[in-house]
Amino acid sequence: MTTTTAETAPLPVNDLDVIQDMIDISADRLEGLRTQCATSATLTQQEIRSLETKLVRMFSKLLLNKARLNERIPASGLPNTTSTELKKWLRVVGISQESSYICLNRLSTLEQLLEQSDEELKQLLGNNPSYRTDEDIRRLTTAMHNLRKCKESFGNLESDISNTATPNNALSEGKEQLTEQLFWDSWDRHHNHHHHHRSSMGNIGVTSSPRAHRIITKHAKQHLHQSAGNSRQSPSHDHSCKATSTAAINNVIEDSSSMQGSTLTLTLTPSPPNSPFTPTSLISTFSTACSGGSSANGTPQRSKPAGTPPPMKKHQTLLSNLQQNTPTHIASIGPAISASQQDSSMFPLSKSKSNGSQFRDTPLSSTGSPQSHSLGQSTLGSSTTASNKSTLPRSRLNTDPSPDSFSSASSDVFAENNNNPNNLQVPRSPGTLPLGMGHTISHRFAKVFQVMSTCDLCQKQMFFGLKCRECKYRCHKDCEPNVPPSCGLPSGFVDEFKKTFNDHVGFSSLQHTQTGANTSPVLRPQRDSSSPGSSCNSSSPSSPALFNLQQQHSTSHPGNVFIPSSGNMMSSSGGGSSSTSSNMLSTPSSFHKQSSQFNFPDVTITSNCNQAIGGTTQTLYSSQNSGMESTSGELISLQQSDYQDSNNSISSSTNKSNHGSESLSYSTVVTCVGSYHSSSNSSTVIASTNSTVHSISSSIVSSTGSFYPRKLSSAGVDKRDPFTELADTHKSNDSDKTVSLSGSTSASTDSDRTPIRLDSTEDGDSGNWPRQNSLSLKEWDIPYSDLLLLESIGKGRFGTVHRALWHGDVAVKLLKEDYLDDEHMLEAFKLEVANFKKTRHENLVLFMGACMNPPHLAIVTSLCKGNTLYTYIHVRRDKFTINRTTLVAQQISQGMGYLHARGIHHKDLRTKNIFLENGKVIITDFGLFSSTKLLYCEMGLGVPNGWLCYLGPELMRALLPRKPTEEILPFSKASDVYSFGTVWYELLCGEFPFKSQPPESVIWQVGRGMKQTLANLQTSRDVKEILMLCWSFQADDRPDFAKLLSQLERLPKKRLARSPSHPVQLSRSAESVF
Amino acid sequence: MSKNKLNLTLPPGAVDATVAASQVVPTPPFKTPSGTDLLGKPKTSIEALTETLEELEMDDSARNRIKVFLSQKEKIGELSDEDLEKLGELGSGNGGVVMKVRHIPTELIMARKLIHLEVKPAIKKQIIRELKVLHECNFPHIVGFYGAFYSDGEISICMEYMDGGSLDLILKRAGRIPESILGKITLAVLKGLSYLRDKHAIMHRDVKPSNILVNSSGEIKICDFGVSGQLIDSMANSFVGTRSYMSPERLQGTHYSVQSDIWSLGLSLVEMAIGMYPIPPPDASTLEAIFNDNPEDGQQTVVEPKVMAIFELLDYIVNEPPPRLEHKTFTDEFKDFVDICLKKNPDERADLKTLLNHAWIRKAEVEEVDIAGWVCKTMDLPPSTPKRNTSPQQ
Repeated sequence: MTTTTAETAPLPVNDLDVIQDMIDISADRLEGLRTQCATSATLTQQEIRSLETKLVRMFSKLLLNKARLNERIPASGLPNTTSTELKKWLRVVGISQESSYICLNRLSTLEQLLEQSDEELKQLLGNNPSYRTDEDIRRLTTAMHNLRKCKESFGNLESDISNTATPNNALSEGKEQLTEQLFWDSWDRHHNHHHHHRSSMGNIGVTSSPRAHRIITKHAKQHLHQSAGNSRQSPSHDHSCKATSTAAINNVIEDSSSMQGSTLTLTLTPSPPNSPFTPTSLISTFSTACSGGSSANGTPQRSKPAGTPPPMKKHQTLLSNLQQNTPTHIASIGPAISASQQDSSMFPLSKSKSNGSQFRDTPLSSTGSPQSHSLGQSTLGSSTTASNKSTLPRSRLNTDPSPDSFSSASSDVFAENNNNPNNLQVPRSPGTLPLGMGHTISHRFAKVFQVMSTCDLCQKQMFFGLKCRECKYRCHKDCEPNVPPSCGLPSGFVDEFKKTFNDHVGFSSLQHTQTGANTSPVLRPQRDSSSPGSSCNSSSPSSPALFNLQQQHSTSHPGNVFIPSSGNMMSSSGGGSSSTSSNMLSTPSSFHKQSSQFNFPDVTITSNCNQAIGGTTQTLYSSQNSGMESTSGELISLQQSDYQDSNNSISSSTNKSNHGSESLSYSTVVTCVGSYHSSSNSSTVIASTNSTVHSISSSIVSSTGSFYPRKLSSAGVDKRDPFTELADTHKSNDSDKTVSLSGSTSASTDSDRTPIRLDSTEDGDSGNWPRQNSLSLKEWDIPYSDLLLLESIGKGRFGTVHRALWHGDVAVKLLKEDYLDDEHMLEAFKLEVANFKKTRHENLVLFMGACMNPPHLAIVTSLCKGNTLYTYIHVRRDKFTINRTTLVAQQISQGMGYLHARGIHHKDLRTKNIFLENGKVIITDFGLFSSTKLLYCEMGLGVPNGWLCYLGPELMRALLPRKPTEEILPFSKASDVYSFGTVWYELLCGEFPFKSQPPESVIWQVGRGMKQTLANLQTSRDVKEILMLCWSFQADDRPDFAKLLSQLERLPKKRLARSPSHPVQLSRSAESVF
Repeated sequence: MSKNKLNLTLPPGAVDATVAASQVVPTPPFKTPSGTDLLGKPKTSIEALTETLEELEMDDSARNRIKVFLSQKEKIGELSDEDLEKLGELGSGNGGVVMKVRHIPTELIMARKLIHLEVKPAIKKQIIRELKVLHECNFPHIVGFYGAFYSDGEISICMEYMDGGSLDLILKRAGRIPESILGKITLAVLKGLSYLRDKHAIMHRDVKPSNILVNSSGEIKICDFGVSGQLIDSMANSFVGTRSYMSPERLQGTHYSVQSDIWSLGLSLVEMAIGMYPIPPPDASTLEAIFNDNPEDGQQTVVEPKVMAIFELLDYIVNEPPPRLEHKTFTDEFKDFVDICLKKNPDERADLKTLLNHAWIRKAEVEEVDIAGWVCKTMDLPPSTPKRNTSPQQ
């Protein structure tokens, strides 16, 4: 560390900048996790923890660096940094706004906050009216403790390093200190499941065995010069340095780089004993350096290799990441590894060997990880994770056989990890799941009403139930808990898997399922020979299955999910032998990160590299890379951003500064190149390992795919954005397809299946996924000059509506000019337009095009000839008969059901946006709300008349008096349903609910779950029941539109013929209400 | 409402629409207000009004001021958009902007509140009609009303111009408002509320610092009371801000009454006394910081409470203990006054009569406080004669 500091000294400010950037990124991500993910999910929690840990470290570094800077430049100080740090820190801590206001008012710098004792903090926040005061105090004090601790240890570390000849020891010690719990669980705990995790969490940092460290250190020392040279030479290294940002980090990096060098040398030696260490160590070091991961577990478990992993333990990859190296390899992977090793040995490919070595190494690697930990600590503080991650990639390779294997392996690992005090992190996430499929992708269930469908789980008929939005898996609500997290897995695979699993109970790890057959022969024998590792290549039998799975995953889950799948694929390609471990690792990591699951591609890359290069070094690289990535993803928590960065650098070779993936990027680049070559080469050369080739190519593809999305995300689009994800998936799919087609003989059936699957899935995806490619949008672009604007026919929040001529009458919504100020708005607008073009339904206004060239932004739709429901109800005060009311409501339900099926939330469903043309309902203005701004002014939030009563409780509670930095209200399908309830009420009563009540009253009452009384509404119970269902306080309790439609259709139809001109019942009821 | 053109003396019934809409106060026998024809031209004779004034408790100077005001108003006749010259913007209130304007024919300075409405003609007429009640509201602590008219999509309400501005503006300048001044303010507000209730059966519905105006003559008047329910219902936008003065019972949608105004008054008093909106209540140290400062600088230390979600704030009002005045600088009477205003249960809350007899108010009644001087000093206004504000240009 010290050395680095010395070197970095000239650029301390840059370092600070980089750290701050990283902090920003991580903080954003953390916030996203807190607010956008289900914080009850162990995965999320895990991620939050690792992010917290990472952030603590980064802040420590920041503070230390600053202190150092101030010594140097005492006069000027760092005014800029000081002012914002505190804010950022408070944000990271996740305390309520009130609390942070208080803090900000009292304290001006983070340093000051650091000096506050717990008591003082308590006092500070004690009078806070916020309900969350206690939680805030807890978070803040814990976080401050951690920060202090971390800062101290960093400080000590540095001094130790500078003083001590053997930096490694100091580092490792520091690591151990640092790897203690540095998180504070800053998610809102409505459902606290953390406790069981905690125990494991605690262990994480500590586990790393000192021996491992020493070994590593030795290696490192030996190769120090080399590594150092390498690192410096490599451009990527520079990046990495930046990423590490902190001076301390830099030191670490250097160490790591040196370590890498050493590892590299080590890896060169194919012999299992040495090699294993090296790769792992490398990986670990890398990972540590890069990610700063804290995981140190690896060593102890390594002994287990032969043991079959318990099949049932499921999960998971996340956990496995940490420890994965050891346990996974050992247990489930064991066989796979051996197989792979054999394969590798058989095959000329040196890579495979390296893989095998990696496997063996896993234990070693775990040992190595501690060092890495120390390094990581010094660097990012995330070293613990890093080790895990590093292991992860390998594990994947081992696991290759199949995603299932992943799960099993990972689960095994998990279990082991859990048992081991050493386990770092904790992969808790997937593991927690009841079923241990390798492919742990949870379904995204939505309620559906389906006439006569069959539960995919219990095979019984069902009318109401759940349906996964991604893979269309259907089941009863009651069956849901029993559904394996097999989203994206074709049922055939699942069945096959089950069979296989039953047949080979012993090989829980091999569970891969379908592959079972393929893998079993090869893999099993190979298990013994772990070293050949080429596993990647060898995996051929399993690979196809994997591919399929991956593909499916990717296709089915546009988002993160698919990425992991790709990882699985990689592992599978790995030939199952070495791949298992890698799979394990990768999967876990993917799980951890959810979003950052890009690891997979990397993993694959490594395998590819190995093949292509044929040199162990390559493998090492790849392993490192994968490890890095995985680690970085998990530990670093920069995760996505890092990933993206690394990916970008890799893919485009445009080495933009990757924050997190310093050294990694370098390695990745190499690997990428290697992988590409390898893929081509391998395919030709290694005919025998068709599967491998496939896997490789697929992996490559996937990696590229991932790059793409990352780029997008980096461009500013939410990383989780379905677009990016989809894009990834598509790409990967394509690659997969080609691969499969090209044909791995081994899994011919699978491959056959796959393409079809892919296609179908892709289609499905495209349905949900607005491909935002400019080309398609252009088709909808209408030159503003082509429009002949006529009179204004309306005015909305977003602007004015004009009648216009454009091949006939059209309605043109002109967006207010102030939209143009905002890039973001423009993007949002384009996204929405992209959404509109796929809406074709009788009850939806016809979207004809849009003007998308600023300053003229407009949406062109067909012109609705009729009046709005609002006009009928509130202006003309027409009375609707119950029959007419029902007919209208049914049409609205149909249109809305269609919109929802298209993944579009209306966000502003109200009678002013519903037209009635000769009895036909036309819904307009859907999806536009987010591109319209709520009106904020000095006096607060502007509340348009008759708008509030459409907002469900969850939206009401989210209303802010000031313009929030981040929009937006949490619109959902359920919030649309609530709005529909209000429309239904208006139809019935001719009034708005909560009529004439001041907005504050409405907000409070609805926010508290109170509803407009229906006591005076004289109508049938069924009608009221629909109303009450729509207005359910809990969004989950509200029916979807399909169900609503069926309920509306069941309403007794009175005198169907011609409705009387005045509905007796209705008018009476309407009046009696008020 | 407008059919009976002769009836001037009887207090107009609360606007029926308002009452109906918000289920307010028990409606007294409805009296038709309008001594005015179409658009606010007072047909009433000064004598008739003077009779009314005689019935009210007020000193001669106050009565004289009102007479002066009424005589000016008589000259104005029917207001129209063309006669008004815009002089500046005074601020934006709920639902519209308030402009300072000159009535060109009479050279009178007025405040004109513009409220954007897009409603049917029938509704407009109804609103104008309802606003005419304001012609009857002549009282020293009620802002004088010149008339209302509709033009170009906007309702204009022309009122007496108060050069001191509203108390929320003053509060921003002053940081805090001294207790003795608050005593006078409270007294004025209570009298104004009593007048509205007793003579017009109107409740204010929106008592808050920005609806209490002062001028350089030391007058304190309330404005913006809920005369027209239709107007409230027709406003296209309303604003929900960082502060709410709405009573818990009103937030809960239950029946509410004049007692609701008492809550709002209490809350406003706390805010003006400590210089910050008291929900959520500031912690002890914040308070200490506020009061350690020079009162003149108080506003520097004023901590704007962090942004709560609107619901969160409202829920705090409903479910958490009401704010109190805890600092030692306040007299016990003041603290007690605030406490009995801020009872969450409207039945436990003191009523207007009780409050008017409260020790703190009694004290304020007899106390000599130079409101005019304070207003002028705070707002950098030149001291003025009492007449200045009523007939500035003459």
